[in-house]
Amino acid sequence: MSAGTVSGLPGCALQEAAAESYLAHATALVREARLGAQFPPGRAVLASLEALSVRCHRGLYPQLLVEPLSGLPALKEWTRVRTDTQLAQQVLAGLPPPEQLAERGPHHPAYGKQLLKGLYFSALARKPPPPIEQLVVALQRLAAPRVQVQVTLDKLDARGLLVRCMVELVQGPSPRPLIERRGEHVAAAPELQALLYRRAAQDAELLFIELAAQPGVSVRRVCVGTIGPLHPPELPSSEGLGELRRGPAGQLATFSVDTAACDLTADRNNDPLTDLLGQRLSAAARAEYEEARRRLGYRVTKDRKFVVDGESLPAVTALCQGAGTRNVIYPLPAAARDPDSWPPR
Amino acid sequence: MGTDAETELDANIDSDPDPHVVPRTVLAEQVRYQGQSITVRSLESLIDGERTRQNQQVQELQALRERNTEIQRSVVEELVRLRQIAQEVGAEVPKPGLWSGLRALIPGRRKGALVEHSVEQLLREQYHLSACRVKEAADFADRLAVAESELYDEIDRLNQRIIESSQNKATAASFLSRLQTFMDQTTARRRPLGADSVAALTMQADLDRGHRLLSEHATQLQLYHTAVERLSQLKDSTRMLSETIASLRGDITQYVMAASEKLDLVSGQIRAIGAAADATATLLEMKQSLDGLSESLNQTTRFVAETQRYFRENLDTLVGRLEVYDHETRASLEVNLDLSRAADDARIARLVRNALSDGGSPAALPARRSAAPRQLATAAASPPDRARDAGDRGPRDPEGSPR
Repeated sequence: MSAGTVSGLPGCALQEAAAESYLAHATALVREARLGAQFPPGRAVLASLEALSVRCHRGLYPQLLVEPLSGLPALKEWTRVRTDTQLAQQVLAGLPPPEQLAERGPHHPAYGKQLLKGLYFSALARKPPPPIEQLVVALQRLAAPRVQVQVTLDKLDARGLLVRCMVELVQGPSPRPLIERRGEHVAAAPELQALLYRRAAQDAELLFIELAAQPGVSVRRVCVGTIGPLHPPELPSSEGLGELRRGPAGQLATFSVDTAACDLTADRNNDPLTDLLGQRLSAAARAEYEEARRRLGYRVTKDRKFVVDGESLPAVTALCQGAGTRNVIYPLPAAARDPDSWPPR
Repeated sequence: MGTDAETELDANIDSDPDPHVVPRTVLAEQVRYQGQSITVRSLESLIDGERTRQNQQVQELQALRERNTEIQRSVVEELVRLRQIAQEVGAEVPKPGLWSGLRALIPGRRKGALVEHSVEQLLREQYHLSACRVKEAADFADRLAVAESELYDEIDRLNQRIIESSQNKATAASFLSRLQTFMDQTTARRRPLGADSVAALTMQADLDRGHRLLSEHATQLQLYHTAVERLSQLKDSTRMLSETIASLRGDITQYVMAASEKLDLVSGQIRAIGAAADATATLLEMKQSLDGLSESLNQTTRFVAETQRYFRENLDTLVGRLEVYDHETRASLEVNLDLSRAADDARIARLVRNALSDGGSPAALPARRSAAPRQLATAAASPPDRARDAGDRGPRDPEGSPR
């Protein structure tokens, strides 16, 4: 896919009712996926989706921009939740007194907007949505001069998908260590952050290889969990997985995990939509690639699970069977397919 | 009921059929003024209250101006930061192909050091920062809308008071006119009478009573006249404030809309980063976008600088007009000398600002009295000239960017 194609794609702007319906479906798809620790935090994603709804912002934002390829809200919308949460206290401090807003809000447009802002930002200040993007470095083991850490990066990647890149490595002596340590406090060096940022959207073993090449670094595991793409009924049908939707309420979502680790016993590809990296290389490159893998000593597993409505279930099941994979497919409850009846919480 | 002499005088006058003769009953007439009674103290309190309210509005306007300066400074900082990112883009070496590029990373092969920054990461962080600034500016515009509405409510309220005072002034003037006519007529009737006559003495008593009423209601007339004048001046100042805020809100709204459009473009470009295995085209495209965005932001910076300069000039003029030094008012109302202090402070601030912008050291200033309620921003906190000059020079001269 060329950069020009991606950058030229417009977002899908949903208005009011369509936006609410989309958010209800997206919430149901993410909730039913039963996301574990390998994925970006489901609670944060659901809280952000709720903050994007008109129930929260009271109509301050008339439309919602959705990435058609990922089926998730666009960067602009995730950023809106983040900036509004960050500015909530500041905005509330600049509002007129609540009594004045309550008295004049219903009759005057300027006060009316401030009244809505008061309600919206109060809700955000009371219960701020957790960040969907963050970098956490956890100390696992300290045996000076070596330190074993788990680095977790949650981010929205360039495709509009939510990604969790989790790395377990051991940092030994190095002129430019990737893990900076002061006592028991550890932090990721800027070079490591940049590397994770660049590679998070690619195969886990690419990141494994690049980390293993760094002086003093011994990589144990790299795991990339991805939320999306989502295919809710509000978005137009797109080529590929979206074609599996059936009926006007057809909807499905996928959630993948890509792991490269030294403690895996064998390569395993249980992802019907992706080949292993080695299978995508030319014959000439594959030999050297295999040799490098033996030296580094890792294995790769890929897996993917689905959430799908009842009507689209047979098509997705057939897809997995055709690819020879055995994937978890969660059917959407009947109530979740109707945004009007589905409770948001 | 008056004395026998007064009754006789009443009868004499009442028997005079001349319609131009003002009867003695004018001395007992109840003059009804609208609203609460006015005194020197109550009028002073009213004017001081209105001026205090306006002081607060000007202070708030000054705070809004400072906030506008902060937003402008942040935009310039973002411009510098985006320029740095553009330099980072130039430093990134694109890999010719996926495996070929990774070969250099396999242990045993020579490789270069890791790049310290991810272009996408820098762009995303900067995008978030820019989005925050634009959101702050939008909230700023909303607060201005409320301030503007409050000022229009203030104008309505002042108009009501002005109308009431004007009506009372007319009432007082009408009564005084009739009272003066009565006194003139009584003086004329008294003149041919003997000084010790009962009628003359009674008339003299009426004249004395009339003088007293004249004094009382002439004061009322003067007070209502003063109230109409001062409240009208305050209303004019309030209208100027509201017009200034309306202009600023319009300018900032335009800036927010333009900046939001640019941010939408950037968010679309950020999507392109990392989407392709070969980053060459992406980087080149991004660099071109950044150059375009830098230029757009440069134009926006100039726009904001112009807005801030307009704001500054109008606010200074507005504050200068508010500091009216009214000798008559002072004589009758014992005006607080802080009014004159505030005018001096405004003049001093302008002298300092002009001196510093001319590059010279400040000239000798008059002795400064204690601070007035309204303080104008110093030149150090608001360098609009440098901002304007930096904007004119464009993005290629970062040294000229305001700090």
